[in-house]
Amino acid sequence: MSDATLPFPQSAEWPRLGPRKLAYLLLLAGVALVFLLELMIGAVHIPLGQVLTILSGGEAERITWDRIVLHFRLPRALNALFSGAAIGACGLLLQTLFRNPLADPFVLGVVHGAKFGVAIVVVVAGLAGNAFAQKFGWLGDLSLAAAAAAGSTLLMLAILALSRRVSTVTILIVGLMLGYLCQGLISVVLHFTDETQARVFESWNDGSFAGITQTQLRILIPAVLAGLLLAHALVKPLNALLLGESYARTLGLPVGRARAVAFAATAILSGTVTAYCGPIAFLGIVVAHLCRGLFQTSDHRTLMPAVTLMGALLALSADLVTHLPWSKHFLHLNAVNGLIGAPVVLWVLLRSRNGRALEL
Amino acid sequence: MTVLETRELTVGYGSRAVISNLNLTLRRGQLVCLLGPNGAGKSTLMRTLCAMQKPLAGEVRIDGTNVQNMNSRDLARKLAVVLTERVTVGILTAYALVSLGRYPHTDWTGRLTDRDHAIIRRSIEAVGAQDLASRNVSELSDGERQKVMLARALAQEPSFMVLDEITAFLDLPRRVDIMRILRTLAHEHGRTILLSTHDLDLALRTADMLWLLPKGGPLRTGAPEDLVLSGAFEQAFSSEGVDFDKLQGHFRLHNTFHDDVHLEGNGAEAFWTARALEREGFRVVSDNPIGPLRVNVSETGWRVFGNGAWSESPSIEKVVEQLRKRRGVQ
Repeated sequence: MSDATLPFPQSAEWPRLGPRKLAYLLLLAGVALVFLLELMIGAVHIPLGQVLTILSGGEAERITWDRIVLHFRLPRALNALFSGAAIGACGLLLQTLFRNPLADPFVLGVVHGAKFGVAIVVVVAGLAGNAFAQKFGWLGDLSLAAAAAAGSTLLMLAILALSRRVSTVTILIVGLMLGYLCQGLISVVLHFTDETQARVFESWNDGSFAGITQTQLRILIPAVLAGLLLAHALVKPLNALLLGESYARTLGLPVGRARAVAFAATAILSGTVTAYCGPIAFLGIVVAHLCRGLFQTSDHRTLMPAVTLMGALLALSADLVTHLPWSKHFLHLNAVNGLIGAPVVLWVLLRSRNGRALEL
Repeated sequence: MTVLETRELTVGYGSRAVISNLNLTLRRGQLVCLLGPNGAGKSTLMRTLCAMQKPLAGEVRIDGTNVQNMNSRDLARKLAVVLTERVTVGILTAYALVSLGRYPHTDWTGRLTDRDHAIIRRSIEAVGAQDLASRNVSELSDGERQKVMLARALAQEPSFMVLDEITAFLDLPRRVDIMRILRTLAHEHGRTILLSTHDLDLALRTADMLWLLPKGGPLRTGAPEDLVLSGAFEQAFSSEGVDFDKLQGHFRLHNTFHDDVHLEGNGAEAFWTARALEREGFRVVSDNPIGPLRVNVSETGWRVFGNGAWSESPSIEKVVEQLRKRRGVQ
């Protein structure tokens, strides 16, 4: 089959590979739409025209609108945009790496690993939350992200070691237990800091896209872009890994190296997001399944851009729901995520015939 | 043209050698079956040939290059592997799965060129899986799935294909089908194929060459028929209670015959009647037309002679029943 001119077989109808451009365009349009809604809707309604004026550097009709959009809503929306994309990519990476349709940074407890990393930094520095940021500036923020990434890596390595011994469903329980273990350790570690600081840490415990600082955004956005770049560079090895490790090896993939890079990407993405937003529940798992269903393929060349867009779209939408003006009680972000995420997990579990043979 | 060559190869684990000093060669377009009882070291040998494990001594060369000196990508362009395990790949069409075979040939993004697509299509056609191409792999039967996996291996454009018991979970018609495909791939597409299998009968009928690995070695190679005639085949699988019938070319249970039955007749009916009688412990003879037990097979049916009288029988089941009864009376 090495001859130069190969006849193209005409007889059979060959299936088409590759992404559907229209679906991407729709996703992109959705992201843009919800991003703008995020800037318009809130306790104060700001018309679209005014938002666009403010974004393009113009003066709004009311001076307060300027402040609201640029200082509150824009950072929050940017945070949701990039963090959502990051978590979407993480979900897909983890599901393929562990060959488990239930894998996701939250479900596997990776976020708790990240929290543990943060807790250690906070205690060592003796200050938590904004006080910490004020004292150490961008270096403090950077160390938070680095510690979270390191904690995530540790937790993933623990799960990797354990995942070889247990089934795909049991890994859920393993992740849950490791999460509890981390939370226990966090409490122990926080014992060494004073009560106020511990309380600040606890409030950060709830995932939220609000309240991110400019400095943090300046670290988050490049970190997420770098992580996403790595994730997209991994689509070919990830496709080979769909066949399982032994086949991937026979196809010429250095499995150990590919896995290390994938772990690094996941750690950067999940770690940075968790450091600044807290644990975001279920988003990764929902995004990956939604995209597989929408694009009807497990091909990472199609899925990786899809989960990136879908992650951003869902994160922005979930965040929008939490600050709709007509909701008297503000919903927590993870409450919204849980409402969507838990049914998806249940659906995956029930779909498998015997609860064991789970497929991606 | 030599595709595979081993020089003084010793394989095993740790310090324990399982098979020593192998000097094997395979030429282009040969279909070779590796046969041997479990635990003889088949997997160890296969794994060493695929560079999945290091040899204890000696070397394995594919197309003249030592596999230990090749990087994984170069090796994947020369050697393709199909395993026993049933792969689960999520949502992929058979076509997409076969396209993964182009992995060692594509750039870092995995983009497929027109030439890649042409090779994928040819590979699918070579195994006769055109009608499966757009189906989802998770919907395929085990046999269809292995066919697709073969096409994927073929898409790697390897000179050497190692197939580890790929027919193990298939039913007989599917196994025959896969063997037929393998013969085509070897003889018409010039692939060199090494297949480990427990399917002795099919291997005897389809392989160009056998590698026989009895427990405790040594490895014997040769045409299937030569190995049968020399008794090597029988030796490799000799165990209590099983005999290899050189004349019929199949294995059968050790039978201790209690009676002779004279059988007359020919064709398929006579053949299967003889099989039934042997199963029941009767030695089938054709030189005792006045013996105490006789069976006549003709177009109209079976006639059984015993206790000095003839009786008719509509089926082999009844023949056996009657003979059993007669024997009991005797």
